[in-house]
Amino acid sequence: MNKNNLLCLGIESTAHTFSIAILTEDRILSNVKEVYVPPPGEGIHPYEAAQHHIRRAKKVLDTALSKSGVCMKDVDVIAFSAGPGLGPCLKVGAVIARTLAAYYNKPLTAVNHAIGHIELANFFAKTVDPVVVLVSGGHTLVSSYLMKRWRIFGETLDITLGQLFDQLGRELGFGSPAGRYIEELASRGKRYIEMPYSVKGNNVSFSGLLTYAKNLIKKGYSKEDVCYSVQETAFAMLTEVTERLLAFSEKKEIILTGGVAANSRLQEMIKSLCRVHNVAFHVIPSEFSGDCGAQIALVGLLQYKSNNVIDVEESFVKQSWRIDEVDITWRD
Amino acid sequence: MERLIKVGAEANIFISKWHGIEVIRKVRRSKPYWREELDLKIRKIRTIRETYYINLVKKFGVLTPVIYFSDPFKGEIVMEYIKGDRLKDVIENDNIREGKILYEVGRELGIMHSHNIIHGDPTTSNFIIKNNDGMVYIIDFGLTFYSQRVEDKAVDIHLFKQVIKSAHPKYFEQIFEKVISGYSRTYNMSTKILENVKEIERRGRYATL
Repeated sequence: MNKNNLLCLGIESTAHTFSIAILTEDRILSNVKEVYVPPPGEGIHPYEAAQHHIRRAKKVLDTALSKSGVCMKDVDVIAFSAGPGLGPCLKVGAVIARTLAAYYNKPLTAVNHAIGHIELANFFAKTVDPVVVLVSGGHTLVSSYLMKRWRIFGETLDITLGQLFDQLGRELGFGSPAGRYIEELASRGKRYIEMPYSVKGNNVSFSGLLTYAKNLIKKGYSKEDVCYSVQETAFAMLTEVTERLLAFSEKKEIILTGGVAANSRLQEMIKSLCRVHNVAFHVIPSEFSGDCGAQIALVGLLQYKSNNVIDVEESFVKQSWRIDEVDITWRD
Repeated sequence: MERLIKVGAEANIFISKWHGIEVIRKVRRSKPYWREELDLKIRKIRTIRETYYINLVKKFGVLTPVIYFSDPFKGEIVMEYIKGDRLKDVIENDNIREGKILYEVGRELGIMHSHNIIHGDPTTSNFIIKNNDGMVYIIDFGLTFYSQRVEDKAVDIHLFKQVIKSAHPKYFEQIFEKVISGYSRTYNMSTKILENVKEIERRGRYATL
């Protein structure tokens, strides 16, 4: 087996996004996605999302294959997002991956979705030993690597940044994910309203901030000012815990990844931190910050190369699966 | 002559001179990512808190540096220079792991909690083992507060646990057990607190406990 030019097909199906990517170790050949959008003012409905994924799966697969110019028999390994995520959505990806693996007789590998966010960012930035800031709908944490695991140094004690924005967005009548609407409104905010700032050691808590902001909206405060103040407060909290990990670990680079990494105000804050400590700043390209097949395919490939594969019969999905429970078989 | 020895998360730490003696000067930096009003407020509050609690906990027998001077408006504290090693740097050393130091760390946390003082930041870089006598000093009281709530105390222990787990995974259980033995000895509510720590972990995202 020539281990240098292996092809991996990765399936992402943890929440609102269904995506398939095909890549080699140094090049992403295709990364096709379809996103389920709930009606305005509503959150994601797991069964509706799963139905959406089932309906779009064939088209996504066909497009991924044709865009990459390869066919199923060229693929060396099939990877799928095994968790964490919404049960019904995870099952769709898993069933498709198992079927492809069994039918085409390919090895199968089960990927932790969050590890995908981390490693895809590292892939683009070519980082060596970074402080990771992972911000998305499912996660808000700071992490660094030690002894075969991505260790969680600090995280949210309640909701994530993505959920904070989605739930505030729902109050304002937007569908999820609402991050970009919040960012847009915030960019027009002028007045800073003081809000609950909750850093507990290395951890953050956003639920008090959410309640506070929702109440201000109900009272008729300017949406722009509220969004602006929520962003300023929430990002400052996250940046503070990032700084804490940076000082504690004495690492020399930071990488920002996950759906919320696309927010330019957050990037600005983390960048300002990097200047103070004289460390390198990296952020995942915005095209790949949200959920996508590439994050699954990349980790799938790394796992396959380190003989981390699973039999179809033993493959699983896990709605709950923390990153510090995953053995990183491809790193020292 | 002043020498910068550490750029911490919040403050720059200098070795300096104060009326002829060697001291630590801790200066809370202005943060580029905090809005100006928030920046002034947080730096001021944390400097006041730190000064207050470093002095207060001495009364209960917890070892902390002597404060010589404090200026909340400049975010500056001049304090005793404790020559020693950070717990973080020696924790994996066999003698430390086996010996009384970790028990002492837990004991001091227990004393503070029994007086309803929550350190707020008990990471392994905030305990200093003094060189000449091996006594355990606690520093960095900027996030310290008063609370009788079980939850607040549990968050404190949870944080300590998290740090050991992520920074010293190899000896995590051994280290944590030693610390808790000291904690339980000085704090009669420890069982309740530790139950609450488990509860916090269960609430953690994607926890499978």
